[in-house]
Amino acid sequence: MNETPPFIQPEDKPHKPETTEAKSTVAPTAELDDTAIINTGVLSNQPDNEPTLRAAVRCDVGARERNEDSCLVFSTEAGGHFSLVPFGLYIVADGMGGHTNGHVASRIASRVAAHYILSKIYMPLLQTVGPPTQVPIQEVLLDAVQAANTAVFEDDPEVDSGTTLTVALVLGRRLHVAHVGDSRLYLLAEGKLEQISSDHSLVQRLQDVGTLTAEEATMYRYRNVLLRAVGQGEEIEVDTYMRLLPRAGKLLLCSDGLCGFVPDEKIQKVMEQDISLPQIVDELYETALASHSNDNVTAVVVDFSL
Amino acid sequence: MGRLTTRQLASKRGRQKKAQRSGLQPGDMLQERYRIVGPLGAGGFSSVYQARDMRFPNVTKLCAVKEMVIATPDPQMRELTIKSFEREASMLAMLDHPAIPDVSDYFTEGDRSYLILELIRGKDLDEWLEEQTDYLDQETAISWAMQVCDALYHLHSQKPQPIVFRDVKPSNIMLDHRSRIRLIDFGIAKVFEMGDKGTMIGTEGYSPPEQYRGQAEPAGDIYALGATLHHLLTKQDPRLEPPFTFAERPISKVNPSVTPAFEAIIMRCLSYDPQDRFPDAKALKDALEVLAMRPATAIFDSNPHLAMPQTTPPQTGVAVPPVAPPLVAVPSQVQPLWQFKCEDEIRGKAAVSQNMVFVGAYDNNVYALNSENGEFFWKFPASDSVGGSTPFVYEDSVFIGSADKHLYCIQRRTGRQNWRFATNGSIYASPVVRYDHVFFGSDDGHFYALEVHQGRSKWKANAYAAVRSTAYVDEERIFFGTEGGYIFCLEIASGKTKWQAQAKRSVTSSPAVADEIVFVGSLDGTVYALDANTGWIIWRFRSRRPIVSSPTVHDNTVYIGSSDGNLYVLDMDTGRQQWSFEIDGQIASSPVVWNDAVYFGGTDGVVYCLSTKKGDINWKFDTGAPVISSPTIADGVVYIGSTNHYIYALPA
Repeated sequence: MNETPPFIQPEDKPHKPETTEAKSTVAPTAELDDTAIINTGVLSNQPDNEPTLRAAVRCDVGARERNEDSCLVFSTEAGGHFSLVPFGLYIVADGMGGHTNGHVASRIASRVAAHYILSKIYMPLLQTVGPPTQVPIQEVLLDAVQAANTAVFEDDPEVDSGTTLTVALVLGRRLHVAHVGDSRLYLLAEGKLEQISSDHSLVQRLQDVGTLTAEEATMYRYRNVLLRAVGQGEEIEVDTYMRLLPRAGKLLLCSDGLCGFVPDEKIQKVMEQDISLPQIVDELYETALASHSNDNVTAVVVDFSL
Repeated sequence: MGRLTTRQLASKRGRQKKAQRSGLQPGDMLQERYRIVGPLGAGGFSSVYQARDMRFPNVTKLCAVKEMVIATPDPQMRELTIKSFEREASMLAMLDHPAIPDVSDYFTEGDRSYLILELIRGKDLDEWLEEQTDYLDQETAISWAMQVCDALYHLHSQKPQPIVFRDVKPSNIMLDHRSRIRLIDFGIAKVFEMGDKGTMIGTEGYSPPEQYRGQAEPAGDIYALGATLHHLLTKQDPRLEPPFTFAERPISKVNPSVTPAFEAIIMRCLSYDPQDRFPDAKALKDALEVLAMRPATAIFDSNPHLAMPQTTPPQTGVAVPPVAPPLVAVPSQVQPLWQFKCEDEIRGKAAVSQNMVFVGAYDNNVYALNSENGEFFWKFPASDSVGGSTPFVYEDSVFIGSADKHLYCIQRRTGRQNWRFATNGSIYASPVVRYDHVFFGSDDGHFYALEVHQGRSKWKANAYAAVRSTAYVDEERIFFGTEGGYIFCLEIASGKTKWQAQAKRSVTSSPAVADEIVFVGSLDGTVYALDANTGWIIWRFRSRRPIVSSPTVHDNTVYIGSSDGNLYVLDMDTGRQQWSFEIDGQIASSPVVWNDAVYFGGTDGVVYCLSTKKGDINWKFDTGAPVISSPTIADGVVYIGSTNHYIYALPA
């Protein structure tokens, strides 16, 4: 007797029990009582405003001769009764430079990862019939970073190139993250700045085992030694994170040209100011320069209201 | 910007043994005395050559020439570098130890400094490792380690300052042609590496944490020897692993021939804090000597406390075995507080409320017992089994479904029927009450919402297949699985479908929800994590056999059993396995977490209590017949039924 249930196009807006419209449209199969609606006493927890995702970007060569950072921002909104869930894809990649093609590696990695995620998650969202993707979102993210790794590695296996890669995907109220290297993702909400990703760096490892304090870390001479990078081998170990986002807040993705020189408290102060997003990213950049950043500086700030 | 990963460093430093700079060519002469024969190897800042000492023209006397490049263009720095080199060279020349090659000469020519050393014939342990297919045996490892200790102790005992080797690693330890251990390539080259930004000093993987702060102490050589032993015994190259992760990669897991005592000695060498390592190379050698004298099966060998850091430093400087090692408690059988026998198997879960335990059995009865002593209060007969459904207690009523297609509402105190509601199929799912309504699914392919006092239908929703999964009901939504392989989310108010997601086979497991994520198992063997708002799959975890066990979420961790015999413990956000525990049977029971322990039953007949930290057994209780039931815990007591017809009350 197992039948295939008809596909139900998900709606964002819950049915309001009080409306007569809702009463008349309850499931036709129901054995109706006088009032076929259970009064839960719970009001819709949807905010009054439509959800929004806004972003600003500063990706600057900084004190270097060449910008080896890459970043990418993609977000969409669609209105109407069957509105699309908020979708935002944010990527920062910091190429390992100096002797090799860091700028090429970061460009390949960010674009390959974005292409993979958009085709596996975003394109199915635009379908008007049928269910969304059946592939778990975290597997898509992991596969995207693997694809980026393969693309960088195979681009020129003789050239020893590599890049960090931090991918943040906002889907509805959920934040999905895939991460390799020492670029960072921060969440600012309710007066707290939280570092979500963990650095794959010698400095971080030394702090983990208690040899270095956080304070010493900013002055540390081997700050630029990574323990993992995209494009260094055929396989890559990727960290993933997931969060249910608060109703409102900000995300920051940045390269170590910013967070390696500016302490978290200062970053938080800049992000909490009542100024526009472009002003925030500009000020983050200026703060990095003022803190003697000698690296490329990338800051992607996302303001969300979900 | 000169970023490097350790992987890169490993390949650069460890493997490429070719002269990188336009160094010395065969035939070149140094000091009108040393004629270069050929290269021996090269690191980042130094190269080693084989040379012939022409002071002995009638015989071929060979020596090793270590060449170091003075990279700094600054004349003052250059002067300092040369001075520092000469000071170290003089110290090395004064050393007299069989495991340390003799230094016979040193000099500086142009922008290079040179050290003339005794040429060691043989192979280094890096080369030795590459040739071996088997793991190094413990006996040889101990013998080599003791020889290295001898040499290190000699270096560390130098006055006025101890000499720190700074670079103990397989490629710097030679096995000479007489099978003796020799240390080569002193850290003297470090003098030349200062100030080169973007590159690491030391060898990634073997160096102790403090060396990255610029500290070079004898305790660092002990750490590096521990790291070298770990590499030799496991064949896991630490240059390819995150630094300082030896403790996460136990030697005996890879190489079971290594005894716990030897492993403990190595792990003590690898302590992050230099204070926790052996106080000196002699103490380490003594500990190894004790081990070498004992047969591997000696009772003392199984005592890992031997090599653990002592809380009070032993006066001899040697780790002394405690007289009586503390006994680890053997997982014990617990004694039931009480037990009660029904007339048939118990497969469902019990409900506990106000000193009463309610459980359904396959003898068609719902039993009500005194939770303190198992005393019988009443039983309520249905016309068919009530063994699949778990009773739900709400106010003064007990709700339970039966294979006779009815949902029953029974008076809690008396066991009399208040009302019953007929569906068109057996009810194996358990009812849940919220907002004065009782929610449950039936084998007739529908999901029902009944008003709780009279049992009148509020709504019913088409689930298109039998519903045996117990619903998770929150403030606005209802989540359950179907035998058709779907997971449904209904609006609680109207029963309208909010979303549906598809597994590959039946979903009999009951969902758990935490942090807006729905967790559920399926007969397709997979644990699914779905977004509670959209039904999108966030992650999935595959076990090897079907899953009927229901997940429980505690402290960001998901616990679930599988018929592949494992209890799986997964990170809630990523689905990554934290640990698992395998039993000799299947786990259909749904785990429950209480006070840092997880409880469940197995078809091996045993009720388990494991620590949630690592899955160590706190206790087990053997019922002698498969335990399909899930435990219920109330006031420190575990209530669980078995197919041997008994319900047990066990102290948690």
